[in-house]
Amino acid sequence: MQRQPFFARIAGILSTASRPTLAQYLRGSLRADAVAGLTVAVMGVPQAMAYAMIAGLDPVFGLYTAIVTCTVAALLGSSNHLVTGPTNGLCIVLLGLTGALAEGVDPFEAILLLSLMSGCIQLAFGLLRLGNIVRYVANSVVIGFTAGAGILIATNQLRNVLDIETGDAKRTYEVLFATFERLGDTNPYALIVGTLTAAIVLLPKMHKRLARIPGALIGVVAAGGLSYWMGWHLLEDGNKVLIAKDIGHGIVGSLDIFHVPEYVKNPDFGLTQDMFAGAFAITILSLIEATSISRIVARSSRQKLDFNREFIGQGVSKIVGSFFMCFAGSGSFTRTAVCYRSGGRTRMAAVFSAFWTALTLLLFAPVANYIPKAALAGMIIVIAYSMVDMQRIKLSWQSGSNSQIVLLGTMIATLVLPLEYAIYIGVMLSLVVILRATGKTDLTALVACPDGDYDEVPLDRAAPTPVVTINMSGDIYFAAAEDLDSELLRALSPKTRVVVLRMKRLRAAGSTAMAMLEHFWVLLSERQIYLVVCGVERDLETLMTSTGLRRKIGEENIFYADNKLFQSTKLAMARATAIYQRYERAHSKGKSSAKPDATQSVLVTAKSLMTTRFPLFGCEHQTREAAWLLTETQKFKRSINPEPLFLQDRNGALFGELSRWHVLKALIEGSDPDEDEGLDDRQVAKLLRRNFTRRINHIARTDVVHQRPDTPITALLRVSTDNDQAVVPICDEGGRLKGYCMSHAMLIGLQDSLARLEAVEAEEEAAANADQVEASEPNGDELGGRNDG
Amino acid sequence: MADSICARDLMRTDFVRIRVDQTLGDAMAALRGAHGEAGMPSALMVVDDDDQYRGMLTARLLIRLLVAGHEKGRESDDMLVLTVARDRLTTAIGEMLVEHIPVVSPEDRLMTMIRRGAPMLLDFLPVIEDGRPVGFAPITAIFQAAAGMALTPEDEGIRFDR
Repeated sequence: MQRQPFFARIAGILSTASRPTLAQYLRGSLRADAVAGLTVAVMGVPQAMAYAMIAGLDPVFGLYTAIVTCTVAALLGSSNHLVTGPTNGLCIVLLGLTGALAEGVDPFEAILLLSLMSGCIQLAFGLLRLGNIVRYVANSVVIGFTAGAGILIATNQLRNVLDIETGDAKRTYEVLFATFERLGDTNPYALIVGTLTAAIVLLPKMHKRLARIPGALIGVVAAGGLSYWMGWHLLEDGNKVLIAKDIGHGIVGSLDIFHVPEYVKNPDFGLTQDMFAGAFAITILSLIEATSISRIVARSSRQKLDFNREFIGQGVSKIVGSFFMCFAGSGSFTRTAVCYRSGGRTRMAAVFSAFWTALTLLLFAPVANYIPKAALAGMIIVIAYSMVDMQRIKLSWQSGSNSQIVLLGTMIATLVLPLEYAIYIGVMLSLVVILRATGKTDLTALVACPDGDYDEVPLDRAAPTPVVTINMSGDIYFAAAEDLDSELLRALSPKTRVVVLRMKRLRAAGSTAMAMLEHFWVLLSERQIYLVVCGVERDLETLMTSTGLRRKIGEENIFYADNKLFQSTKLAMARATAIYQRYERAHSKGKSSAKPDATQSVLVTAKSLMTTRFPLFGCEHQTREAAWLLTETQKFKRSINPEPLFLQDRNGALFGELSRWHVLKALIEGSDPDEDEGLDDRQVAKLLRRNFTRRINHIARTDVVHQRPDTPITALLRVSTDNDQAVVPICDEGGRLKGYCMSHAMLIGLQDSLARLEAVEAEEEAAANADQVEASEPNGDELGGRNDG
Repeated sequence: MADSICARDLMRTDFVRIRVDQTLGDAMAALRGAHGEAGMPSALMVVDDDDQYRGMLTARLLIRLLVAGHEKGRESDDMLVLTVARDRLTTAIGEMLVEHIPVVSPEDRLMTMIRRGAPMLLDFLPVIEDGRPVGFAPITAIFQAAAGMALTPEDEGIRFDR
């Protein structure tokens, strides 16, 4: 195999666009990456220092993490834009874990050990190619955990803004109580510094035009400048504003940071064992953060991600970082987004951000030492506030009960339990939800339509018929097979003579499923109901053969899946119909056909008048969507016939009728007619859009009366006039729409029925006249007698 | 303001006139015959001898005139409904035309049309000028105009995946 030149391979790794040479990278992307990296560093430096404070560490360790972890993860990971470093979620977990350490354990060394362990687990995940494992963690876990963590972070940092000593309080609620107990000890200068910083950090979030301002940097510099200028950092205890220099060893302008973790030099297996659960939780959270962020960016950049490689990159970055005094980091959403939006083209943008951070540390350490602790705390509180993302919470909440359970469960667990357990609970809830969704087989009835197509309806909505076709889909493994036979039985009615089971979409069928099917076959046999199966795939055929079910059902009643849609279903239904006809012949006692009365022959029925092409729509859409659909359906029509939109409920039954007037009435609702005159087109459009988000099930007419296809014209006319309906929907027994009759069709039906009535009456009159003529004429005997005479 | 959509922009002029002294049977025949080229049901403008507007008849309104009046809720005899309708076909339109139909003038703007038409949910709004019918504005046209103003390009291609 021909090998690529070295530079070409390096460039291939570095570039999003697979640039062939390093020279081209230097010409094309170097500048863009350097600028993007600088932008990230401007925002990231104060953020990194603040996040270290969340973890209960000196701010400088946040900078180390933003330098080392970021560089290694960028070079080895899969994403071209992911910026790794300290994150708020991981930092609050670290604080929780170190808060629960035994006496005598150095929290900083424990954090390095956690980083190393977590890195090893991640590396193992990557090497074992378990990259897809995070797919099984619901998004609601991240949303719930982030929101809960935001509340915890804000609570913890309140004391730093107020500069209140909380003594031995470690747990969040203890810190909160201690803070409120000692509110009287508030340092007013720290409060001013914290509030000022928070206000400035908030500025870019207030308006789009301010979005590009580096609020964090300006806030910290402004507050630090104020404190320095006023000399608040020199005041006596109680009024002194603590600065970075006062925390630990302060910020040292050096990169001589290689340090072998204490618990690597002197391993403590007991501690390692105790911390495993925490390290695993950090691994999970870190992987979820890194993969979800890189996935979001990859959607825009169209990069194909390799999650296994990302796992390896994240793992090695933590391992290497633990030898350079770095705590566990992960992908940062804000820094990654800024990097991408600032024009970062390759992974070198993240490396540049680390470079600029390192340069800042080396050049500005003496200045950075004057950053007030309260300023960093004020900044953190704003970040914590944004972690409680109400929009995403609302979206997740509206996604259904499964999302609600996961979201609420994770959030509550985050607030009341140690954070590592909160993550486990979130992951566990995700898996429970997945099992709930997959642990059942969906059963629906297939109803043949006149056009050869099939309608799929819920079992309880299907009309009772002699031949019942049941579509089985989803998983049918042991958990799902439980009670399935009794559920299948519920689909039958006294009329049922043949059951067709379509098994095309079944997955994971095993011996339990076969036992269930056999039991179902026995139950049917007891009721003298025949069973036909179709859509049988190769693996199911093998299983049915080995369990003897194939022989019991009978080869003539089994139809195998092929590559033509519904082919085997059609054959099975033909077979079922033949079985039923044979059954009927055997049991028929000869029915006499009743002579249709005169009324029946006069009246036109709905079937001959109804329009069978109609737009059907779900009932939970917005008015905006209905408006769009109604305009689209009208666009290519010459007719001005105002077809309504029919709404169906979740069971496929008719829910109501939505006419254009219903939509227009809803759109103008709440507006003042007196103001109409002054409105120009733009204002009218704005007025009409106000109610666009209303649900159509609130504005549709739901008391609309429907009829069956065999309904005579007279009944249709009565329904139309009694209920003031311009349209009469025609439904089947299950309430599913089959067509509709509009007023003009009913008028034509009335006219035709009147014409038929005329004809019948004329016929009767002619017959009566003939009788009269016959009665007035002499009979044959008389004639004969006369002839005889 | 001059560019604003008004009834004149939306109305159709291919309506059929029927005199107030003609019968409901004539109206039924005219409506059936008035199915235009596109197979649409049209509206009949009821006028007097001076071509002054007296009312409007559509299929829905005509059905109401022919069938309404039977005992509501009672399963009345099918044949009775038919014979009553047949008897009424000979009645003059003027005798039955009691409904108040909202009308608009050619210069009335979109919001006025919507507000006038909404209470009765009529398929067509008569457009009257100087007391004479000059056209009718179909609800389909009114709706297309209103939705066309309200919907933005972002609304195009709405996904119906809920």
